[in-house]
Amino acid sequence: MASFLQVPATKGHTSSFTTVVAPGLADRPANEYFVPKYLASTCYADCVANSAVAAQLVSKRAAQATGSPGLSVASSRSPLGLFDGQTTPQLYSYSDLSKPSPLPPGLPGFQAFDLQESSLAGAEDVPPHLPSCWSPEGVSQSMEIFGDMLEVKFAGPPAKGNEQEAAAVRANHPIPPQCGLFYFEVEVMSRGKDGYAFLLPRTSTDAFERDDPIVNERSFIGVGFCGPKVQLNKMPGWVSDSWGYHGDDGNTFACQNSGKQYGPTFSTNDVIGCGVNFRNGTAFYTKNGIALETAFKDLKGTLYPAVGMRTIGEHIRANFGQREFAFDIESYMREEKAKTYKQIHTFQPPLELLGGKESASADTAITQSIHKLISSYLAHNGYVDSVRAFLGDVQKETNAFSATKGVPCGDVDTEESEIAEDVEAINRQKIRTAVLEGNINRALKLTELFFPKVFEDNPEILFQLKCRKFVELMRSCGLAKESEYIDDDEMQDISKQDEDTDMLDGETPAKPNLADLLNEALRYGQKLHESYRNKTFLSSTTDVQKALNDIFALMAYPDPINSPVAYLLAEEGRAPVAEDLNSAILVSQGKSSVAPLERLIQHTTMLMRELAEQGGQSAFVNVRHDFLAP
Amino acid sequence: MIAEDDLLPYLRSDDRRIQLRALRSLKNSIIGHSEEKAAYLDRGVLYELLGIISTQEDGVKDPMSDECRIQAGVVLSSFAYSDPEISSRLLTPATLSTLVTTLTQYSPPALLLASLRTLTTLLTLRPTPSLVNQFPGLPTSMSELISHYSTACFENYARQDVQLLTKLCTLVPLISPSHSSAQSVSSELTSPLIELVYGSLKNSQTSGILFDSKLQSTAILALAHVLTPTAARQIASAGPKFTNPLLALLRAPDTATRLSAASLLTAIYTSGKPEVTSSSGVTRAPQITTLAMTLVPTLMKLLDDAIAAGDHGRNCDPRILHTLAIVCREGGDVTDRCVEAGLIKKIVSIVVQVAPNNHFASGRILERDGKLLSGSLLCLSALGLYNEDYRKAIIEAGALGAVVAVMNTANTPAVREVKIAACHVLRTLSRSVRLLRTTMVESGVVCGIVDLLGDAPSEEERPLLENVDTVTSEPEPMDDEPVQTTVTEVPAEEDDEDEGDQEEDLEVRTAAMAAVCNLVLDFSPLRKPILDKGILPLVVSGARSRYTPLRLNSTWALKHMVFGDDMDTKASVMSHVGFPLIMKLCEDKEIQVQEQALDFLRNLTARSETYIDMLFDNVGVDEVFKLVDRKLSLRAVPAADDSEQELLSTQPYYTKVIIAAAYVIVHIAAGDDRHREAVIGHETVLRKIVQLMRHENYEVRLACVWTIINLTWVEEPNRAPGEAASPSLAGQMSAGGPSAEQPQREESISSGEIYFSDYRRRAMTLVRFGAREQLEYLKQDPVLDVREKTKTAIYQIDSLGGDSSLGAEDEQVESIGSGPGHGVEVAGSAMEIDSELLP
Repeated sequence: MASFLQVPATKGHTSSFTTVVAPGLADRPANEYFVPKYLASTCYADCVANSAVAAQLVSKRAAQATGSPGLSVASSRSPLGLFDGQTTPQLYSYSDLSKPSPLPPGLPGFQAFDLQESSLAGAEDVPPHLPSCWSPEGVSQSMEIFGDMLEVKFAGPPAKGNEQEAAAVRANHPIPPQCGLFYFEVEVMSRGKDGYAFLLPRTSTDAFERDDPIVNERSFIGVGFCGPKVQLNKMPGWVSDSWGYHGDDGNTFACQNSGKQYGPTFSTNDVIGCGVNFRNGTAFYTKNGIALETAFKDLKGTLYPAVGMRTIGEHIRANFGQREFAFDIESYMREEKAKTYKQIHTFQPPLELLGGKESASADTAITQSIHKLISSYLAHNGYVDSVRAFLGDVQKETNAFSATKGVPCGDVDTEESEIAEDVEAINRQKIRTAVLEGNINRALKLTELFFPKVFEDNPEILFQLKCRKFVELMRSCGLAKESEYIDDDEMQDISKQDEDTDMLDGETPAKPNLADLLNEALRYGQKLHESYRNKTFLSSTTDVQKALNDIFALMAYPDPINSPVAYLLAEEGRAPVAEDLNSAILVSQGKSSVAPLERLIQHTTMLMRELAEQGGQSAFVNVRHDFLAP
Repeated sequence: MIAEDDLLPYLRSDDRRIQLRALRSLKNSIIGHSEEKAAYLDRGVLYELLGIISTQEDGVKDPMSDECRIQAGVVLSSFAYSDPEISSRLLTPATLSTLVTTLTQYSPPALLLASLRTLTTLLTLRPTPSLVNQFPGLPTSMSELISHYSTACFENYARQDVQLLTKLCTLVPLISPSHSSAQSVSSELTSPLIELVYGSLKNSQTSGILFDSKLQSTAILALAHVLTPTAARQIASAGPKFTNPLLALLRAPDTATRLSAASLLTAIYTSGKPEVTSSSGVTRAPQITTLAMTLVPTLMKLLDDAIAAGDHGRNCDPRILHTLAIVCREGGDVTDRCVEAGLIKKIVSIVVQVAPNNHFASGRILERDGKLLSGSLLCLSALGLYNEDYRKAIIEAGALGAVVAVMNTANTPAVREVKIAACHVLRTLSRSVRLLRTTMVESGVVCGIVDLLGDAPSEEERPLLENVDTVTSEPEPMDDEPVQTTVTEVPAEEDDEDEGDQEEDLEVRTAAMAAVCNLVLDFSPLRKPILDKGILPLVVSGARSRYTPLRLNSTWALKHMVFGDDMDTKASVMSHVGFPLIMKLCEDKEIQVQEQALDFLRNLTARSETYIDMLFDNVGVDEVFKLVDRKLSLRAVPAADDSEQELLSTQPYYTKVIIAAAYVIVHIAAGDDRHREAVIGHETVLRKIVQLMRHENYEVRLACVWTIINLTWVEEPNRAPGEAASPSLAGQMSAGGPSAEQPQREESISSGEIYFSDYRRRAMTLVRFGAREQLEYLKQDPVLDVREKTKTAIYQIDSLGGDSSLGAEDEQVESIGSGPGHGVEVAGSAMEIDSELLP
């Protein structure tokens, strides 16, 4: 269950829910994020996925103190090195990027923003938990909670006094409105001593055939939800700020003790479901997998799932998504989501906003913006050929359109600047490829050559690259060792080597000598240590000394590839470095470090999250799941 | 390019090239052009095309000829894909025969596909149940094609294979629209369809490749359509590897998949229901819980979505309702949950929407609405089957008016199915004595039913059919040539002696007969009106039918007619029926018919010495007892090809035959002295009765005890012999006294009691056969009723065999009086209906 929640990856997941553990705190179940399958496409799931990654990073650093500089710097950018290999390739196929294809297989960069915003943020940005079991707090002694805190039994003694006396339990957490929809089920295991089942008198006089006996079963159990301050000695719905559906009369109660005829009665073996919908502030119930009509309206505030009982022997078991529901809640979710999107799609933005007075020109404006977003995104990531092909197609289409409609079209005068951009993009692409191949030397050299100001302006990125170079050296040692099965070799005999190894442009020799490699790595490490021993970067969070310590830990292990710090050597660690370098180059060229398309998505995601905090439509929108999942 | 006007002659060309070019031009000129299509049809293009399609190769492979056949097939399918006016003009025997032939012979896949397209379009337009009778090889060919292309599909997953399979699966229900025709193609088609469905389920599970969902759902629906209970039980026994993926499909995003999975699961789960009636009552199979928990929510959601989609559910897929109907027949929790979810009201609102009378005038709306309506009505009939409250709710929701309207509508092929369903509703509603006596009296159902029963192709029926035809042809005044309406088709079918269509008629009569059954019970106010309409000859002719379901229901109706004390009706029934027929039915090949026939005898002989005499006189005393003897010895013996499951499902009927036969003896024993003597005189039967007192079914045991009570019952209680022991005392006594001593006591009968010697002798005979010991055993019977009657029987036997004083006669009277009256048990309960009738 400890697989990390990757929202897009839950597509096709077979388990009904995914748990996210914040490491370091994993021993406390209260900190375990638990997202049932039907919520996988909500804004809430997105927040959880995000915070899980952040928590992962924070705790990794805190607990292990072995993060590489590449990682600790990149931690604010991309967490990929930390994910288990199972989910990562599904999401972002970085390995494919080493050979740039006209169309990128994944969408690099899109996940970066989330982390930047939230990884180091305070506790207020941690998403709230979902209700996942009953809470023992404030519960009457007559109630017994057991069975993973999901089962409740009314053990007695019966409440004294009037029949209004009852005992209730509520869930461990309130329902967070940003989940959009919350649903739980209560199975009546026993209707208790005073619940009843009686044969109704037959209405017909016939005795000549077999009819089913007409049994009427009821229980004194109520299912619903309540606010945080409601005392747990009344049935849900009988007091203010509480709502419930009762098994003895099938009535619903909304904050008062007079009920409203609602649905059938319920009793032993019945499964009663309760759903709270924050899209429109309503609640509904289900009985045995069949939806009943809307029960309550205008709901808001902090609501806890709750169940109330009145007689000895009553016994229920709740399902907060741990098991398959009797009701097809996923189908309900799909419909709610569809309603949200229908509303989004029917929305007509004011024309002025789109830069047009009439709808035709507004349409053109939209199309042009979209084209710009696409081409800038491709250029940003250095897909030069794709940009060309794309612009060519757009041009053709525009020509065809203006030919038929006679509409004059301007705005294609950008040949010059585009060619200049082309060259720059090609160079950036070369550099990125070099990093992704692990050829840091080449990347350093090319960057010096084409963008000489980058390292001057941004010494951090140089440090980051150098660290990575050291890691790569250690990596080749490790690989060489693995392939040659050479026994541990004390690194004593340090032979003289060419001073300028690090500027050599080329791959490591095909059949490298392990000793040589080790020497080289050691020497480079010493050099690195020399240069940065007393350095700090003012403008940054990067802890140089810690970063160095982290990577030098690799040398402490005779077989780093199979050591506890092996994750530092993973190829996945290259991608964040490449990303950062690319961004640094772009910034040095006076451009944004993020493509406009990415910025658009970041902005939208953030707005959605803000909106969803209060519930409402936007809780049903998960930008990443709905638009960016492969 | 060939000029359009000249295409027809080119189609006839011997030069394949020219023919091919003409076909291509034709295709291009007609696609999407209804007027062109109509014009070409007027000029006889259909026969040219059919000619080309059926071109035979003379051993030489001629790709050109194949291409022509393919193109002709494609052109034909384009004609089929048009307005119903045009496509219905393709519906000729020649078209069907040509198309079916392409399926039964080796044909190029492209031609196959085109033929399947045309065929499915045409058959959707008008179901032709006789197709399989006309082309007996069709199911085999389809089976082979399905197998072949399934294998190909699982290997390569080629688009054309998927399309071919989808069309083949679509065709399956179309060639077998009725229940009986579906059963007849089942043996051929079940196993390839199981392979295909199972393969598709496994494929999507293991490889993760999404199997074409349309093909998957079509295949599942086809399988559900042809599945026999036996095959369904086999699948059920295959366990979760088949059912689990199907259960997962119940939550698939697309409606078609959910519906198909629900309908197959329904077929699987409802078939496994061994409704074992043990001493403790009816045991429901554990699958019922699954049905209630998974299928009911799925189906209710599908129905709700369909209703929410607009037009008050008019566009609802009829299969949702058909499946719900089967599910609801389970009764118990399943039905309760449907009703709780408002199913009765929802369905009645659909029925009221769709059923207004005037709709039945126009043929086309009917086909679609007809299916929806029949599904809805079947569902209502299922909902009310076991629950009086639900029957009441159905009436209160206003369904009866629509049902009566349907019953009294003119007959057209499409209405037929609706009428069958309407009959089922009437039958369900007639299970309620109260409704029989109130609402149904005023509703005018009688005429409709009797008319339906008279629907058999007989001399009186002609005018009715012709009326129908004029009605159907009326709403199409636009057509200059009303050739394509049913007017020409009805005689054609009759000329063909078309078995399939006759079978359809038989299904209607069967359903009507089922509705009649309860209406002719003695407390039904409708009994007289129905009998007055001259129904008896129709029922008797039904009882002579070779069609088993009809024979069964007719025998059932006869049984109900002789139920009760109305001697006039009994007489009039007997004047039509005759004992030879009854004897024949008692030996029927179908066990359920035997049960009804013996129940008939049971009812006939109840409280009626006249009819016991009549039975003895007409059949012969020995013959009667031989018959009963055979029935009491019945054992369910599995036929060679039947599974153990099958045996299990027929077992209850064998028991019911035994019960019926035993009660015939009970009733004879309740006759006069001669009748009792006859029973005592037939030792083999008596010994059987004594043996059966240990039968596992309590009703059998009860009947045996009744036999003993009646045989030992003394006509004039005040002159009864024996001691005045209370039942409990008698029980104690006999527990100590071995039965062997009893004959000795017999000697001490006082002089004035010669009259009772017969009684004593009979009692002693019973004791000799071991009845007394058996009764002793039955004192511990789990069923109260058996224990009570056993006390009475023991008391009677012991008092006849006792040697003590005549002290307390009054007390004895009282104790005998406490037994149920005359000691005659009347049969007449069998109100359950045959399940064959539902889809």
